[in-house]
Amino acid sequence: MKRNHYDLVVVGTGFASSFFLKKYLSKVKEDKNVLVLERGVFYPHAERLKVRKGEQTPYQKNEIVWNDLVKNFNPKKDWHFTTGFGGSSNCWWGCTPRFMPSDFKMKSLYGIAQDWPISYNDIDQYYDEAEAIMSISGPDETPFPKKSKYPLPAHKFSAVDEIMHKKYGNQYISQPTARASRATENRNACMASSTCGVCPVNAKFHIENSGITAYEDPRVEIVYGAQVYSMETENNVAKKVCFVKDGKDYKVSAEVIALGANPFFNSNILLNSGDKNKFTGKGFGEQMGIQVLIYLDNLSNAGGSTWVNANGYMLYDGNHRKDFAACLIEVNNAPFIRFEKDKWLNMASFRLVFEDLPEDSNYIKTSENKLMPEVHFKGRSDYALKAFENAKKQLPDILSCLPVEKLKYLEPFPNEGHIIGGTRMSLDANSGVVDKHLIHHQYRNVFVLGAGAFTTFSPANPSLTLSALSLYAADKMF
Amino acid sequence: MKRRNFILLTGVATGMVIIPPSLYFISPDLKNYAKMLINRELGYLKLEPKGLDLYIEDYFKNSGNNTLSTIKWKVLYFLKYDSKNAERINDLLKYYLLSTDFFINQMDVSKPVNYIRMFDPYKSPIPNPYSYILLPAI
Repeated sequence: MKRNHYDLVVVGTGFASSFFLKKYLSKVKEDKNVLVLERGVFYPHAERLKVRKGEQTPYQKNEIVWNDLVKNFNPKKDWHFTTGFGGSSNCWWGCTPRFMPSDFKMKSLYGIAQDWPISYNDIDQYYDEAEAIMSISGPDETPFPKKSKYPLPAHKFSAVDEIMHKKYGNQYISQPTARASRATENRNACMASSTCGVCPVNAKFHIENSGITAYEDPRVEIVYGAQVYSMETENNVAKKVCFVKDGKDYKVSAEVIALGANPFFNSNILLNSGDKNKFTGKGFGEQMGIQVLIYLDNLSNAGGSTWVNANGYMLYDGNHRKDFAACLIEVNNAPFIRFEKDKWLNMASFRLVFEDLPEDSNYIKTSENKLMPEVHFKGRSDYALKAFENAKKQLPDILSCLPVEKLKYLEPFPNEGHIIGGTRMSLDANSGVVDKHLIHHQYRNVFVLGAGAFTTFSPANPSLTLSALSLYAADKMF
Repeated sequence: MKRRNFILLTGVATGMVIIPPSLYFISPDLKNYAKMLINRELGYLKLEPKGLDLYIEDYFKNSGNNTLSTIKWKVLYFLKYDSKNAERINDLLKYYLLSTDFFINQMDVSKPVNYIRMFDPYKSPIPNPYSYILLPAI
């Protein structure tokens, strides 16, 4: 570290931190000093590809497994994430639907959980901005309000998509995605490999290929291998960030701190700092995903152009959310093959993604190892499970425009790759951890970024929304 | 489990009764059972035999070729399991077709099916058959 004191210390380099830092740097003067603490290393995409090709690279030692970093108390539940520069942008699959306006008003519309302290309209322009930064491919018509066009054209529909879109219009759309439909300055076009964690052709947005230059800005200093575990506070002001690097403890002083680690580690840092808010670490979770294979008679489903080709909203919004969860349908091009003659590609694969609720029985807490949080996930809510039962009833009718032979439901996935909640957003400290600008209710110089701040989960993928929230928070507060 | 399957399974597991003992003792290893399973379901295609052998070698390169594995594949074969009711067979057949020129040749059943290399987006040039790159939406 070049200094003992910084105007801003940012923890992490994933979506939340990077979008926040980009906006912050665009708003403050040239004399500001920023320190970024990243627990991992810079592990380039090209080197990740080598590992997957079976080639030798000294970077291989950086293939760190998520469950070595937390104490997971539910062996049936996985929580995949990636550490290192770019965070989980290095393992996400690039799905970027916006939330629906109703997702922000679950209490007032449906009597469920809480309303967010912000509305869809509050972050509409930041959705636009995040979509521009990520060069999102998407359709002209969407079920959520959207004034601007997506930067890149929509991906091509498959045969099934064409039929479904004709019937359902903007309730069945080409998925908005950060898997490029056309080559961009920094990315290639998607080849529909259906293997997106490390994109084989570098078509997916991640922080390294983002064009975000924040980390090269002369105001910014980045330290790798810095594992932040706590903050020192005084009279409800966070004074110092505490971290371990190369086995040694360090402290650095900051005017403002932005926690942009994932919800496990953000919660761990706050709890280790003495945060007494009753919601810190509570109510985390993610969506529930269940795959259904649709066997088709005399209809080949070829012609798609990306991993998740379409999104269906037919089970999403409506008064049913008073009783059971919304479901977003992800229509994917995973290569499921049939072996009967002339039916090899007569198959559609729908992933039913159900929202879940922030239940306090699912929680994150500290352990005797200050770097390693405990993760306690009891299970799914009845709200989500009931929605699956409803979907099974509704799906035959929804698919009646297709020549369906049969449906086959697979077992629920052990994870959706999302970690949501733990530092929920609220109007006051009696109902959540951070305010509408992602500032901690008690520590007013601490931003707690990321999907941990979501008040409710939505069935939609979180990365776009958490990126928009980072832009919003930095824009409003600097 | 159906009674008939149970009887058959008992026979396979012990090498008695239903499967003739001679067949059990001289029976080929698991790779041959896997090949027989592919031929049984995809026999209507012109599967190029050397390529099929090579695929089987590649498929089992990193898995066990021991007595237990052999029995598992033998059970699948003799109990007449197929891709619809056994994930193991479905996986074997799926990766075979994905690893050949079958989809590149637009699923033309008159052409021989040649193994190229194991389907892997990082190592193989064979695209996902659901992609417009290979086949348009019809």
